[in-house]
Amino acid sequence: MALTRRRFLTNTTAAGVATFATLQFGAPGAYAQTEEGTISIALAARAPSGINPQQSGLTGGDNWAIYQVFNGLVQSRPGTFAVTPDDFQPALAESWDVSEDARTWTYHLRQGVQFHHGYGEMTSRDVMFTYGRQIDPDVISAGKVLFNNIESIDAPDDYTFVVTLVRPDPLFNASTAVTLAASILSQDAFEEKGEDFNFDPVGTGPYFVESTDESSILLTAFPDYWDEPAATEHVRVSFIADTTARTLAFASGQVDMIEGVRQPGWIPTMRQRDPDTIFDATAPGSFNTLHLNLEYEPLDDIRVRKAFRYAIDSAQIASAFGELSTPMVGIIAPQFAGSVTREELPEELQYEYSPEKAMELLAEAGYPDGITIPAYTSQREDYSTIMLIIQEQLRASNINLDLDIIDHATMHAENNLAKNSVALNSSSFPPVPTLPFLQRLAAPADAKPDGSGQGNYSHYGVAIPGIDDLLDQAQDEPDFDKRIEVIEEIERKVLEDLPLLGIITLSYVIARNPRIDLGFDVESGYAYWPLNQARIVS
Amino acid sequence: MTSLDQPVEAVRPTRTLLENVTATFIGRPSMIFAAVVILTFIAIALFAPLLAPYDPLAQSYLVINAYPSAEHWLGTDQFGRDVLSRLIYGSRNSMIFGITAPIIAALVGTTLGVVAGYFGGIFDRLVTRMIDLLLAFPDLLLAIIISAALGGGFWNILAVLSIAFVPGFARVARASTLAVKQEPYVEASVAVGLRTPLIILRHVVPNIAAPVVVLMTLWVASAIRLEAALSFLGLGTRPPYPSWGNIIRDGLNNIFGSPWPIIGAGFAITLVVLSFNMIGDAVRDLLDPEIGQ
Repeated sequence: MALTRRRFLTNTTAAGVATFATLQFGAPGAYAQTEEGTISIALAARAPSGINPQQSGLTGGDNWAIYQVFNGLVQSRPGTFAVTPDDFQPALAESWDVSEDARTWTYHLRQGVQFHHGYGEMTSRDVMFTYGRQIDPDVISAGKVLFNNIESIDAPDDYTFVVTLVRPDPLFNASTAVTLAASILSQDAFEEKGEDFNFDPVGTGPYFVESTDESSILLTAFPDYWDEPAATEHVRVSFIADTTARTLAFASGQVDMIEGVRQPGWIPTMRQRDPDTIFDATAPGSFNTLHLNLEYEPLDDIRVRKAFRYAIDSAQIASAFGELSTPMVGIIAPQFAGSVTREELPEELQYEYSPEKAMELLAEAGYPDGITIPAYTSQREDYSTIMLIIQEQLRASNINLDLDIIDHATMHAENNLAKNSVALNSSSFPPVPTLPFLQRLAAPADAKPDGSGQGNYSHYGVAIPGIDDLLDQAQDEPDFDKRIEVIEEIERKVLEDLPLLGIITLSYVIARNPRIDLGFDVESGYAYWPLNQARIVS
Repeated sequence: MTSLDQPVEAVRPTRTLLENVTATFIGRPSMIFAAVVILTFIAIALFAPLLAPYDPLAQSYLVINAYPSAEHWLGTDQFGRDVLSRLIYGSRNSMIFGITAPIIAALVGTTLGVVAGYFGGIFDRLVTRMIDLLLAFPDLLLAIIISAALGGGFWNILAVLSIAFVPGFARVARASTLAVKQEPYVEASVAVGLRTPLIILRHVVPNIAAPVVVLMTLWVASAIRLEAALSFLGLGTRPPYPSWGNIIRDGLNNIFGSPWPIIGAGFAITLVVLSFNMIGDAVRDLLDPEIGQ
């Protein structure tokens, strides 16, 4: 039978409809058996970019693998953020002392810790090597900014490591030692392997890297782990960027856990398909903040920025995401110390949602007919969803956001070239109150057109005087409570100038097959957690 | 002996054009179906504000991912927007781009092709090389390259779609012109001293119109498909304004929450593209003398 164009179209239509019907109305996937003795997790990234904690350009998926393969000096209780200095637990350091002025930190290392693949015992030499790379300005490594405050490091013996800080930091464990960038590398392995270390890393963690391919990393339990060996023999970290494909892989039981889709209605839909699915979510998760570019007309006018603030209803955006989200008032998540609440703010800084007030302010600024501002954001579902809601809210106040939705990596690259006028940013921060300001609003972090700058897309502290003096004051303050007072003052100053608007917090969420027991409950923390206690229970 | 002053009895075809049209369209029920579909969608596009039950951009978080109901005939999407209203407004983009782009491309492409074919020489060689260069890229790829350079927005999409189709028209027009140029009636016109523009307009263009018109009707469907593909890729119609392509794109991430945007837009694209293809085929049957007779 000859295939005419008409017949081809008819046939393909029929095939499409049939596929769709199966997809949509088929029975909820019974959990199929996956690889024996393997727990698999699929993350929203295209491919592994490396398993070296100091490599730049790592994705959330890489971080999951890195966290299983490496250890830091200290750790927080699984599934939580360590908030106060007492919350930290020993890891490669058995104990630590801090001087009165919070400037000298001495770590006493655990003895007998073995590196993977027979690279010998971990000693202060490896710790010196790891931190040494991060404070050496000539070495290119990720997370360097976290080590800025270190004046010097020293190893008086094989099992002692001493850090001296420029400024006091009562939270050094939280701001630096516990971060992924401070994971201890094997010096011998690193020097021997060179570039190959990125995909064939050697750490001290509960798992070592068995193999990698274009779409996954296979980890195997390390029998000589210093703590209790991992409960399950293998962990497979898979990379499935497409949300539909990832959801299908989970629904069909091919993977045990997937990174959730952070868009309205996703969790209810998943619950409808299978009420037994478990959702592990961090609170607060990521801080979603909106940069207003102070060098971009008309955003240089405070009345226009105030109009933005009045026109955006954070509570409504948060309600769209349901249980995953809370509205933000300032720049620090309401769950963390240093944040301000609307009630304690003076009335002019409360910015109760009001399109009328927004339009009044625009008219005052000389835009009675409203304004049009070009901007772009990422196509990642959390970014695009939040920006599309903001766009619709702004429309009610005659602010037309001419929005381009582009590739995620491209958005970051363009933002770093200081090209965006209204840039949404989603970042996870630990409970270290100075961090969001240092990364997003400090003058030294100013984004530059040549790409040499960092995350201050607002040009705060450069285009107009910012909060740099107050930040210095906060960083010089050894007392935690007094430090928090300064931070609250910074919050109020930012609310006066509005270079950056707090929108919502959004939990990082992993959907989990009930056949997997993690061994702990996820409450807060970074967007990855340990899998060494995870076991298959049915 | 007949005088030149007296009109020559023309050789008439066995059927008139009107008879042909009637035979092609009325004789086939599928043609009636296609015509009805297209006219309906054009009407929907024209009267969108009257037909759409809701503002296609209005979000409502009380009715996220709703199933079809009396209030929302095709349910709502992940922003609580009414899917039917978005589809109705989305048809405007598809129809405008689908019909305008091939017309613009036909005008530009035919002009280039006829001039190149008729005059030959360096201009012909330039145009031919350019056509070859552009034809080396599939139309979707070409459209992606151009729109990546120009960016989204109404006029840019129109330009992108038109440019993507120009080389096809230019090639057909040039080839037909080369054939027509050899005909005795053109030689005769030159011999009696008719001015060149007049020869082109009166004798060349009407005789190459058939393939160009056929191409144009067939490419309406392609233009609709291409606009949808560009919007799907995020290079076409900008959010929040709906087009069938970006409705599918928005719906894809939310396929388990609400499949109705994809089903609706997919169905609309299929129906319209199928209908335009049917009409295109019929117009070809009608105008192509070898098949028509």
